[in-house]
Amino acid sequence: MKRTLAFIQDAPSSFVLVSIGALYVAFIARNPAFIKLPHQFAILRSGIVIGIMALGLLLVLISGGIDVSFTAVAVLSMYSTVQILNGVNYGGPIVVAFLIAAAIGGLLGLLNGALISLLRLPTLIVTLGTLTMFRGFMLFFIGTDRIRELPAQMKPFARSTILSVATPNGGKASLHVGFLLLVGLALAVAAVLRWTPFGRAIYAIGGNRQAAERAGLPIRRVELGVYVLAGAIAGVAGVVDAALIRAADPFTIVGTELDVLAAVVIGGAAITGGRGGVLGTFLGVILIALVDSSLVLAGIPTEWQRLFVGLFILAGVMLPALRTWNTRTDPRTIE
Amino acid sequence: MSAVLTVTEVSRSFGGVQALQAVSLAVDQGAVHCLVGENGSGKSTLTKIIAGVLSADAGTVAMAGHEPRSGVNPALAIREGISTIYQDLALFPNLTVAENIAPGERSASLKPHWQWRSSAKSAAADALEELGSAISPTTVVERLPTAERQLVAIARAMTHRPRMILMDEPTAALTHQEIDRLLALVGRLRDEHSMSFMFISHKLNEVLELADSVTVLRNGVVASEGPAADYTIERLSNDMTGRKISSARPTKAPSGREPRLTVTGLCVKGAVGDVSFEAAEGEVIGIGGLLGSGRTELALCLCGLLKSSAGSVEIDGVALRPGHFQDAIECGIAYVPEDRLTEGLFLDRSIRDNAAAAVASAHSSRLGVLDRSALHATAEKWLGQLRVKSADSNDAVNTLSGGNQQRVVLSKWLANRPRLLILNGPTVGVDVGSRHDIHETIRRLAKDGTTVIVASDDLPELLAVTHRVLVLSSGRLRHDLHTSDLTVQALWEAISADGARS
Repeated sequence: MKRTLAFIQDAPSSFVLVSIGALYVAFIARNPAFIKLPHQFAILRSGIVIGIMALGLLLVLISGGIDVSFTAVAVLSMYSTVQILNGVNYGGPIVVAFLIAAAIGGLLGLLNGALISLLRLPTLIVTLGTLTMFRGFMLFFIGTDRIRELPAQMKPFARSTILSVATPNGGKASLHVGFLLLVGLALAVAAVLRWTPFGRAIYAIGGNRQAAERAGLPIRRVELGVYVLAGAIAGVAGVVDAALIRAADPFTIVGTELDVLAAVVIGGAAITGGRGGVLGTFLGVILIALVDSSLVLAGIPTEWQRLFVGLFILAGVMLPALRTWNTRTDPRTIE
Repeated sequence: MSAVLTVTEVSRSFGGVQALQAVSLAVDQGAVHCLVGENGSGKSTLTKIIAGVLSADAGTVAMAGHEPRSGVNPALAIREGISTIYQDLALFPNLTVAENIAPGERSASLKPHWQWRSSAKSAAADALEELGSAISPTTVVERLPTAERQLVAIARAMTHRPRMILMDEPTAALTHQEIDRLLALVGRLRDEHSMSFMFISHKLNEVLELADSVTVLRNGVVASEGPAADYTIERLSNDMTGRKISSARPTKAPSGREPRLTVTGLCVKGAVGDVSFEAAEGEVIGIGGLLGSGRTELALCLCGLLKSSAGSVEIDGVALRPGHFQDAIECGIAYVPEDRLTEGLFLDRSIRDNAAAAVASAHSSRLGVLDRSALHATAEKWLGQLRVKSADSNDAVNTLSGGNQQRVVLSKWLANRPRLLILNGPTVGVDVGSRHDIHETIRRLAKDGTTVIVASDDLPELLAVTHRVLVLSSGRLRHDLHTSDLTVQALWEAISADGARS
């Protein structure tokens, strides 16, 4: 028992992998059509937006904070960007849309960061407040209509795929190019976390804030950076979402906070800070996407979906608790 | 010899408590300076001001060749050549050994990003090798035992190539061999590299073995200073406490009374093994031992705050259910915790409510409604007896000084008229006057028939109030000593001799 526990604790990813494997076996047993490519691509596609937002949330969790406002940031950034680009009748490359959305998201993140890091307010309360505030601001000042006419260059992006496979019944199964964006961003975040002093400082602050202060790390600057980056990443997620559903819908994304949080926590990030990685988060996203998009196909009522997500969140927070419980015995004392 | 560090007239207060008052000292280049003082004498506060983690209300800290400073700037202190090893080590448990050693180094040298990672690893390896340690730089720190974590903290201090290293209680958790190795290392760095050290300790024999010069702090002021050669252990203790430590001894142990507390074969998983002893009515028993010896765990277990894995605890013949704190309270056991701020008090509530907290159930009607006036009368009575100084007992507890807070905790439990009172570090962070009063209270309670258990790492305190001292090491009961023929030196030897064995 102890050894199994130790194994699970050492590699949180292994727990997620085992869960993914078990779900696959169960789903295939119920419905062999599950394994077909169109469905596999659909799972990955449904993980794109959650996955991008999870990367931002991962940074916040490692630094010892929590953020629930990112969905509002994503929608507000996306909706404003579309309004701006439509307003000037923009027809240039899509990259500009991403940049504008990231800039708006970054600004909103800066507000979170300023409240949290400069005024030292509790992160959960601050982001709960800004979550509601950002949504209210958008619905009141910017608009409540679903905009079907996206800026010109977003349409080709919405249709582009990385990989297209013909299916036997004459259709086509394709993987959306947004998945490439997710992978690219994941690699970038992983590189920042692993190889830059900024990334290591995030871990240090999350691990022992007081020690970080005493070591002379620029805590406030790092924290501000984390929230700005998380906001910018959420902005990008918003634009990708608009492209995927081919409309700017002010009511999209909202409500997925828990799914994203579940993905990050299952992936091994600690709510208490200092722990977590991109690979684990990525696997967590796949697991959540699998649950979100496949229960119906497997013939399981959708009500079960919430139950599963809840169970996975609990499992995710229990693992680190088990770790401390297991290592509490000081090796120097007697048994 | 020139001074590498000069502290001039530094004062600092915390919410009305004067922690330091016009403290001055100088550390010479290539010398080991020891700062000694009782718990709460201001040692740690001074350390933090020197390290730039706390600001001084008045006065300055100056490193040779730099401007005097008084504000908060830990990175500046590091750049000026001060490395600090804190009592709590200030490590990042979730990072590797190499990364723990690196953050400070980077803030001091500002190396480009890509070089940092590899240089961190080699710097860590070099520093650990110099300490004669074989810890791998890629190990995650939370997997290391305490002694090795300490070495990591020391290695981190070394990588800054400091002119002075500040160590706050570095040996508290080390065994004898580890202490010897550390002292040898400090001596070598002093002699070969002309490095200065400031050593904060209350282990007197260590201080005299190592120091070139000594400053004794008492209640935030310099009680005495001078070359270490001028000091003996007796003089150090007298200067620290401000009185002859052997002056107060408890009255003779009561004899021929029935045992009140009977502990048989008590075990706590991972902490205490097979401890048996008896305590009579009116007897004061001390529990001594190094950090990690099981001292605190035994105290917690006796009152049911920690669950025992084997053995029994009986009060007047009634066995307590292990792990049931409510049982213990009903049997008349009171526990006053070590860290009164986190464990013992509701800091924002009034002094009176705090004093009444433990007797609330005795003053409620059958329906569970509190009789507030009777409750408050009980609280006021005990607050008065213990001379808690406050303008109004409706004020919040956190407006009181440390010593007065400790007395509120005491009155909270005394209101319950305990048969067995368990005190864990009763005078930690308390000024000398309150300390004396608390000791006086303990003696009086014992005289009135209460059995008292005092777990403490404060040896003069154990000698001052107890009739017997139980010495624990690695969770086992090693000695059961009568206090009447004990000295600080003999007790220290009993406590530390076994520490080396583990």
